[in-house]
Amino acid sequence: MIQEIVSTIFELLFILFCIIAQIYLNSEWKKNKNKINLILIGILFSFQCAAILTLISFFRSDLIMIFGQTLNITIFLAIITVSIELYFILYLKKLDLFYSLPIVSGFFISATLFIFKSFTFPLLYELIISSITFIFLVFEAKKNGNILLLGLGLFFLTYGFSLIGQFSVVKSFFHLIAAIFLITGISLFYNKNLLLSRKEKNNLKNMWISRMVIEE
Amino acid sequence: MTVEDIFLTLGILESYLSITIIPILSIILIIKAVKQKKRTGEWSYIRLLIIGAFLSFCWLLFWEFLFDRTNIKELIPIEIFGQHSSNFSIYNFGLLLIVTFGLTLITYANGWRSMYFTPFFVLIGMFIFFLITGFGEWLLPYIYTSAILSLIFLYITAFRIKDNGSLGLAIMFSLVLSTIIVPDLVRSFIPQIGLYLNYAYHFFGIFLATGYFNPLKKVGGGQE
Repeated sequence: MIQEIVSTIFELLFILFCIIAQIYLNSEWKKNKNKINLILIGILFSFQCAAILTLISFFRSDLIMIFGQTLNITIFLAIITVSIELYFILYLKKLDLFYSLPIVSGFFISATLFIFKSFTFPLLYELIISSITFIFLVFEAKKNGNILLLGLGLFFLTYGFSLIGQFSVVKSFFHLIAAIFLITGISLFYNKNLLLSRKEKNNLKNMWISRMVIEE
Repeated sequence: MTVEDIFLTLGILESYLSITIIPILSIILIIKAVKQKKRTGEWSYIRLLIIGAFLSFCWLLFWEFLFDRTNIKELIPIEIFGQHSSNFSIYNFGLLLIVTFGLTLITYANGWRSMYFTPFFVLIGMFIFFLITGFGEWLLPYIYTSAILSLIFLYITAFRIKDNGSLGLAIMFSLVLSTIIVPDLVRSFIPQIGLYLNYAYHFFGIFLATGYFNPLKKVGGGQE
């Protein structure tokens, strides 16, 4: 029972931090009308839905429907969120020829769970996509001098790795850590503490990921 | 010579025709594509997709010929060829490649840029899924649905832009598709229907490739 209570607190904090991030992203959206902010709000919303379903499962596990062999709504949402992550990367790189890849890969990964009792492939999928997202965002952060991206990359990486956890408390802890990375990214913590030059600091002030995709 | 002997001889002749005519058609298409590349300086993706479909068809016919007319069965088990299998096999993989090129043609011709590679993603996804899980029961429904969709699109394109090439391809692949579906349906009424249809698409192929198929007089897309 203690495990469920601790996990519940972690998940509630995760949801709260995501709401703060969404408010920030919404204000960015109002400023620059860049749809990347909306995509991020959507990604965070799907994470929140997954967290709410996790909370429900702590108290009423019978409410979590299972489709086929092992596909339940929580895992399905996790697959959707990882597919959105992949779409996010493709969108940032403007690889429009590959936009259907997340849908197709998500479909086949879900089908694996529908037909077989094996979590190996969804796990691999989530770990690979989360790692790719992290690596990509770190490179972009360095290239664009935008350390805010680092926070986002760490968020995706930590969230992706939370799926390895065998106990709900470990998973929820990872979720919380991921949300802390996100919040520190949004609060310009990395810019303030990792950048040494005042000039660079000034250059990056008020800079957000949307700058990457604004077409001039 | 009995009627059965005549049909047997026609069947053998048809096997040899199939591995002769379709590769020749493919070579003609490749030559035309190369000529166009030299003339315009760039590849015509529509033409390349059609060549892809024809080469896939050649792959299928080549293996069919080997398993029907040679003793390759002693080296490779017939299950791997799997003409009547509902799962992944050499034969079904060829069919899957043909419909993949057909669907890509639809997305390309309609300018659905974000979907150009979708049929290939589905193909790779299905194949990896099969390798991992051994499940491939959705293969045939996917092939037939995609084939019918591709054909409908080809007919629509043919009549919309009055393109003899599209119409010819549509008729040719309708005949090819019918050789797979029709014999099972009407074998009891017309026992040799498969053979007739095979001959029909071979002769139609020659007719098409030699440029005599011009039913639409006011051509928009051209017949090359």
